[in-house]
Parts: sequence; structure tokens; C-alpha cells
Amino acid sequence: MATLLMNPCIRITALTLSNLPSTGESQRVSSLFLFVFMAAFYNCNLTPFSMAHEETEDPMAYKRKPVSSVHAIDSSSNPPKLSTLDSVTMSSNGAVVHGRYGELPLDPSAGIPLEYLALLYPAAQGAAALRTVANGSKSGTVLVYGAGHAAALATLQLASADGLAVVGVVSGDQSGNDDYVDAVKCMAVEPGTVVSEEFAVLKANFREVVDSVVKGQDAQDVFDPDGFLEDFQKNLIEYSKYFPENVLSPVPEDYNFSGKEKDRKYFDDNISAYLSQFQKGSPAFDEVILKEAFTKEQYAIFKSKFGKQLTAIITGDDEDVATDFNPADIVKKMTESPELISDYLKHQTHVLDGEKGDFVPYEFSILKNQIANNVDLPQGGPVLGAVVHVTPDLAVAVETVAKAKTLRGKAEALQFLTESQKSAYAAASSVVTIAKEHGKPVVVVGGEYFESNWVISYT
Amino acid sequence: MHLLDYILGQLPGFETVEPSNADVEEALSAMKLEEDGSSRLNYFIQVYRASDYPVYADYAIHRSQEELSGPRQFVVTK
Repeated sequence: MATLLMNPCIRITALTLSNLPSTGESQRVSSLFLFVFMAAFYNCNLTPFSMAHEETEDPMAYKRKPVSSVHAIDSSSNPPKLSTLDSVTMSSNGAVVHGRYGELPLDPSAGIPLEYLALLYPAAQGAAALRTVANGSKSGTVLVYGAGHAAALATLQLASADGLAVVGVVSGDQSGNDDYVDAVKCMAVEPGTVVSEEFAVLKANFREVVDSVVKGQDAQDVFDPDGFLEDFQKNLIEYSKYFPENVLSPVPEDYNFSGKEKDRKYFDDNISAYLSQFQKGSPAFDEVILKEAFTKEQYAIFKSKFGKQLTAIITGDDEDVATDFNPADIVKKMTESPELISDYLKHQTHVLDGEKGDFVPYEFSILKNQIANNVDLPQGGPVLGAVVHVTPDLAVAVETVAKAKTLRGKAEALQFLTESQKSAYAAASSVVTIAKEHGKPVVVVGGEYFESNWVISYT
Repeated sequence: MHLLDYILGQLPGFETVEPSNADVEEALSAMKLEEDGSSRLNYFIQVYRASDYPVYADYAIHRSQEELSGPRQFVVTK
């Protein structure tokens, strides 16, 4: 009984019961129900949300041993072993000692995982590369090869955090993992981006990406109404030649009879009836008349008819649905009798421009350039330089080619590299070439730090 | 030539950067957690708990030496 009274559920229920006014049988019944409920709650070992849940320790559960040191892996030693330089150790007094940098001045509230500190050297190398290349600039574009590796990844993230645009290349040993390429791409803030090594090998394409990041993609560059109309007219002429309206099917095999001889005399009528159910072909067009009569305004009117037809079909408005909606016939009629353009099509304003805007974003208009849609297109700024992370394939390729003294020798050296080495060389040279063309520095990161450094112009 | 005969981190004709103390401090600052729980610098890490299973140290070295071992960083805790 005493134990029961010690239970908070029972005491709360007792207090509740004692404080209830004596108002009759219904009040007593509800009080009794509350008591029974609380007792059942207690007996079922359930606790109300307001009470702390006491966890019982599982004696069979494994207890993790405390971590006292964290090590990266030293791949440059033979055989590979746990690195002593790229490692951190927690001393008995809680100090964190790095194998390369000694005791680190860490703020306990910083929340830096111990595992990250084992990567402090590549992170610092990435920071050093950015400092060398950016040189304090607050805007500009940094090119990074090997963007998925530790040091270059640090450069990419630090540059993005500083507001710089980064065009990164994930090297071939990591670019096969699409998810990883996407993850690294998310780390590069707009307008920067990250591409795979297979793309960077295509030098013209990579150069185009860098140019669009540096200059920003101007919507005026892609809006070419005359070009759009010319493409449509050309496609229509080709379509009318391939699907003429006087032929029910452009496929010659449809007219091959393969039935019984007794049915041959009925074949022509039967196949004509069968093919007639499908949309008929296009009337013939005179190229000169089409160019003269089918102007940009007529094209805009023609495109608007699709919207009306689709709306009528979706809403089930049978009266407005054109049962013989043949786009080629519509163009033919418009070239013979041009239609008047409505004010709506001619003077569309952006829906965000004041209260009377009626142009829907992403609705293409050949009469007005609405591609930008009031969205600011950011520009990365001029190229600041390139950071190259030396991957094993790149190291082999560059060393091999560098040893050859003549152009023929270099070509032969390249020819005898493996495909992955050639690809690494081509992609890295795409990055380096662009930086050199802008007269900007190229720095190298990755691997162990050695005392000897040299600076020679890249030729 | 074996791969280990090539010096990773260096390319003939290019400057290899040397991290200074300021770069180390910058890296530490970038690893710090901000108030919203994010940090400027993040890594993809696979942790091998050799403190609990000592064989994981050798296993981590073995996995890291594989061809196309993967994009994450290998870290061994003891």
C-alpha cells in the first residue's frame, strides 16, 4: 500500500479525487474511471510523457571503448601503414595533439570531430592553395581539378564559402560515382559547378562551361527569334515532304498485301479505310510563300492555338475542341489568310511586373525575350587560377610526358599511357590551359609535403 | 616503375603549396560548427573503429589500397 501511495500516478489521482466537489454520481464514475486508468497505466509499466524514462542497461550490449587517437592512412609508405603525421591523439588532460602540428589550440565549444582533425593537413593545404590563387579576391572563378579529393575538396568548399565561383572537375577515379559527383556539385555555389573528368576531356565543352560561369549566361545570347522561326519553317517543309496529305501512310510496307489471294481485290479499299483513321499528312508548302507570309506574329498566333486546344480538351469543353486539329493545315490557312494578332499576344507583360502582368513564367514567346524571367543571372568573375590535386593517374601521366624532350617523344609517351592516365592528363590540361591563358597561377596539392619546391613555367 | 616511385602531391613544372600556420588556423576555423549546425568544411569519412576491433586497422589499410577505393576518406580510430 505504501508503495502504491509513493507512485506519482496514484498520488495525482488521489489528489484529484479529493479535490473534486461532490456533484453526483456521474462525477464519481468519471473519477473512478480515471483511477482505474492510472492504475492500469502503472501496472503496465508505462509512464506518462511528463515522467522521465529510465533506461535499463542491457548487460549483453557491447560497450564501446573510448577513442584516444585517430589516424589517416599513409599510402606513400611501403607497405602502407597508419599515418603518424596525419593523426591526432587526445592526452589525459584533454589536450589534442596533432602528429604534424603539435598541440592544437581548440575551443571545446567548436564541436570539431576528432576524425576531421586527422585530415587537418589536406584541409590546410586546400586553404593554402586558395590563399595563393585567390590572393584576397572577393570575387572571381577558381578552377579545381580532382575536386573530390581531400585537399581540393577543401579548396572548393572554402572558395564557395568566400563567395567565389568554382568550376571543379571530379577526377576519373571518383567520377564513376554519380551520386558523389552530384554531392560535390552541391557544394559549389551558383554560378559555379562541378563536372566529371569525362566532360573535362572535351576541351571545347569545358571551356564553354568556364566561360558561362565567368561571364554569366546572358539570356540575350540564347534568344534568337529569327533563328527559331527559320528552324520551324525548315522543319515544316521537311515534314510536308515526308508526310504528304495525298498519301495515307509514308511507310511503303503498309501497302504490301500479304493475305489470301481471294481477298486481294478488297485490299486497296480495306487498307485505305484503315489508314484513314489516323491523322492525315501535311499539305505542300511553297518555301518562298511560307517565308513571306508566316511571320513571327503568325508563329505566335499559331503557338497560342495549341494552348486553347489543350485547355478545351482538359476542361471537357466540347464546343471549343477542334476535332480536325491538324497543325500543318492551320499553318497552310494562315499563310493564305494571315490572322490578326491580339493585344494579349502582342503586348504580354511579365506577371511579376505590377498588377496587370499576364505573362506566365517559362511560357515561351517568340515576340518578347522572357527567358530571364526577372531572375538575376550571377556572374562568377574573372579566372583567378587553378588548383590541381595530383591523383596517381595524373602523376604517372605528367611524369612520363615530362621525361620526353621532343614533341614526338611526348606524343609517343601519351600513346602508351593507360586510358585512365590519358584521361586524367587531358582533363587536367584543360584546367591548366585555361588558367595559363588568363595568366593566372596554377598550384598543386595532394600527397605528402616535401621540402623541395620549384616553380617552372608550364610549356 | 611502381606508383610509389612517383611523388604524389608534386608535378614537374608546378608549385606545390606549403600550408602556413595561418592556413592551419583557417582550416580549423572552417571545421568549426556554426550555430545552425553547419560548417564551411565537410568531409565524407568512413571510420574504422580499431579501438574496438584491432583488426580494422589492417582492414582499413587494405580497403584504401583497392583500385578505385571510393571517394570517402579512410580514418582509423584507436
